[in-house]
Amino acid sequence: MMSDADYIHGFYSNNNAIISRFYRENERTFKAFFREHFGKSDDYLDDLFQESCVVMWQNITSGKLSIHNLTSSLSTYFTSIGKYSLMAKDRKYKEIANDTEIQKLDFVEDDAQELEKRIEREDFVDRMVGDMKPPCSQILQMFYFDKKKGEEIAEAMGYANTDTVKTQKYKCMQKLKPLLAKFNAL
Amino acid sequence: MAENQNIEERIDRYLLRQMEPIERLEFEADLLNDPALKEEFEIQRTIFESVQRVGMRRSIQSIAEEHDSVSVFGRIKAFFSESQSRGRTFSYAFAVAACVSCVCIVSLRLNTAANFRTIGAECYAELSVPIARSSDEIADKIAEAYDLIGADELDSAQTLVDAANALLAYDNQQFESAEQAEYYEALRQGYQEDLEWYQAIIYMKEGKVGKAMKMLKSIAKNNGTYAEEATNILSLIAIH
Repeated sequence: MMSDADYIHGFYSNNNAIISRFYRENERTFKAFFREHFGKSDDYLDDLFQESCVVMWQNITSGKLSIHNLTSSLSTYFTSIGKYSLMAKDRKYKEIANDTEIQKLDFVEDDAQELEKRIEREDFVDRMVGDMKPPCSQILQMFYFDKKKGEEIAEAMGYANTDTVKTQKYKCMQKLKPLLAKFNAL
Repeated sequence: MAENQNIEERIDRYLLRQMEPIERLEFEADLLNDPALKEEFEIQRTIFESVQRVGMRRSIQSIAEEHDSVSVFGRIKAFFSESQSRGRTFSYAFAVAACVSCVCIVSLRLNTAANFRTIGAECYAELSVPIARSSDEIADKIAEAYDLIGADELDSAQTLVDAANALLAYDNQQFESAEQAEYYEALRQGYQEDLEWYQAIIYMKEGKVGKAMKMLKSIAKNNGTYAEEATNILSLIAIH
């Protein structure tokens, strides 16, 4: 039987089998809750559930959530993330901000404008990153997501050495940075 | 370019937590004193977080696709399609047996019982592993029943399902907030559906055709989580 600590550790270490198990065990209750209370379609609930998984994973890997500061069960925490994601997607649910469980989430922005700005920026940069073509898409994924070492990336990409990886990765970042700087200046 | 590349690599080492504690503190101090470094850091961190989000979305998406592709109905359909040739071999024997109607009825019932045993096993294989929650007796019983069904200890599993049903019927918890109460109601609904589905699986694994059909019809009618699976099983059984 897996505990909340096991799941948190599984998310932290990108363990696909554990994340998959969390997915299977929580999907039904999560969707039933949001279907009943917000009357959303199955497609909408699929997106909401997956986005909430991503947010929880981010909170765990960034150190915002650990077994030491988890104040409820992980499934309750996960439902709170779902409510917060729902509010972030659709401002007509702004009253959710008063929810007692939501108020416990320490990553929540109190300022609605700040929240909207952050979401807009994230959507923009996610689109940029998601639209990148190989080899940049592969190198950045291996470097930042899979956290592979230079030697491993060189081998996977067929490069002569890690210097080539560094140079190529630098060039990829140079494609993204000016666009992001321009967006920030707007 | 070399200097910029060095700055980028330094920021990466911080973001990827590859720095020693002292080096980390030095970097944080530099961030406070160097606006250009701070600006570069913020841009790089935004990209770093985005690559992670995009990567994780892809992982979750592939988990979702995998999850959908191994739905119980797909596996049961595969079972029936694999057994088509077996069915054809038997059809001649059935034609002969049809001459004696009572023999035929018994044969059909035996065949359905065998099919149900296979379907019950497939349905069990597809079940999510239940979570035992501390101080939640119903969840504990469901988790134990799950293990026992897997071990084919069906009588003991039945006892636990009955006990969980009884607990559910007399559960009258009070909650501090409406949110907690709402969440618990959704949980209870889930328990109820799980228990009915477990019951159907037990009947199917036992080969109790009549009881399994009755339970599946009830699940299909209630339009809950397992309604589609129950409907599909009933229609497959009707065809075969």
